[in-house]
Amino acid sequence: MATGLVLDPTGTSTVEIGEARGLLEGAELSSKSIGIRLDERWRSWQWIAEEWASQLSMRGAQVALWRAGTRVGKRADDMDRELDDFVHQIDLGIFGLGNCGGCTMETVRDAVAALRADVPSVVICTRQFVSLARNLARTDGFLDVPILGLPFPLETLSEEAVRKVAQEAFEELQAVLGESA
Amino acid sequence: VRAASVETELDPAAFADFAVASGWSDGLPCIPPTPELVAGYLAATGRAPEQVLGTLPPLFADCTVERVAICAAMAGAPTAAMNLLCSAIEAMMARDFNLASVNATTAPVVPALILNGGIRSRLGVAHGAGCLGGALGAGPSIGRTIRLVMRAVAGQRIGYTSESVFGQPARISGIVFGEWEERSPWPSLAQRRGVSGDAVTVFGAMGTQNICDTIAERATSLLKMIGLSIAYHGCNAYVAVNHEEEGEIVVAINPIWASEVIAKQIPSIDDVAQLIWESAKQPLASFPEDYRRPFEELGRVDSDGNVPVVRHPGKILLTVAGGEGALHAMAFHGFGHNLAVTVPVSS
Repeated sequence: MATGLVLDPTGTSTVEIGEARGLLEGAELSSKSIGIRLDERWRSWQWIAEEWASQLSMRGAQVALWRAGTRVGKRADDMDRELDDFVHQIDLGIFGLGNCGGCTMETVRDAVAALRADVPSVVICTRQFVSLARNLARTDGFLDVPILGLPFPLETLSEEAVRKVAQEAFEELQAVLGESA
Repeated sequence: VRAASVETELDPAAFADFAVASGWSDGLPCIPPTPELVAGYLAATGRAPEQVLGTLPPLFADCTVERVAICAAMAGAPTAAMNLLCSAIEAMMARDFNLASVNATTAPVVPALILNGGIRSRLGVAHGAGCLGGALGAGPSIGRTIRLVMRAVAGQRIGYTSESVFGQPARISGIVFGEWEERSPWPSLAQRRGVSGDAVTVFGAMGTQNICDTIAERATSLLKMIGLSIAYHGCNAYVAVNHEEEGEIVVAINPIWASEVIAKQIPSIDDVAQLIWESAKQPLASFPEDYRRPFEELGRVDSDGNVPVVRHPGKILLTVAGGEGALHAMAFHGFGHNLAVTVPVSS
């Protein structure tokens, strides 16, 4: 059978490989500035963020919230600047919510922006999208981004049920953040 | 030539297996991209092989002209399509196209290419009868080239970097068609978007939606039917749009309706879009109760208690294409999280 040379079309990643810094590494939350990235698509995530912000504040953390949306049109550049400001005012970032393909990509990209600014960060996804988030973080240069999975489906739950999910997941969040007991 | 070369069997069946195993192909047979074949594609463009057209997500890989040429060779696209392919890839790199989300999403969105200018006939891209499938022409091979670029170069893989739930047939063949400018009573889509001459509009299309009307005597009635048809409850423009700039719908109108029915009664295309838009809405009360609050919170309910499917008439992108049998229009609902981009086709 005839053989011959063919040219390989496959692309290779051009991103710089990064290393996610440890989060709190056994330290306390108090005195830390913790940022939570909201997403205008998911009201369930808004409720969870409110619950977690309250819990984090009770532990002495300063909590900053930033609401992300799709970056197209006139607001794209403004939102980039907002992300940059957000990242540079926090010690630690909580980035959500990966709850669809596109929003998982955008959540991971924003978390990677924080990681590249040397801000330890965790990505929050519903469990259906954890694998996608991990793969997208890898293709964006980070092999070891901490990811916390929430129940799926989440958006179909009542506000009361979602807030209960948040309360139940807070202990896991603390563990992912690395807070000392 | 900078791409790595690999020695393999060139027999069609053996190469098909090799291309699948190597992550190069979509499962359909491919033409082996030999250096000689690829050189023909590179010779057809004034661009340098190593020119980077963009860094494509999700892999964030450099998409060089050469890699496009390899994919075009595998797909059997015309060599003369190289400038179009390169320009289309560059258009997809525009911020507004949001390719990262397009390639990762659960949605079946695919970049559709709408061509304007003489390039349609030079490449043999259909714009008349059967232009979305069935007409002989270069559209499917050009569309497949784009899909192979997304797979092989960008690294879009179902179950790994793409969470696509269903996909759609156009994720293999793409959607590539021309506007039938010669039969349109209006300036072309690209001209209205500020680009004259050879041009390509890339649009994140969720698929094709047939709109049938066997009466269509009065323009106002026909445009109302089109408006009513595109505003279905589960479209992405309703469920995925949170900001006034998001949400677009392309509507392709056949040349008979465009010239013989609509333009004779309503000459201005802006008025045409306005009339479609005025009917493209649903009463808030028609949505299940638990779906209503987000529309209210986003300010999407008008003073009559209706929810327009897109925020203003400019979000309905009109084009003229299709056969002279009339009776049908075709809508392409947008992804919701990106915007159409129009660029000149340049060498």
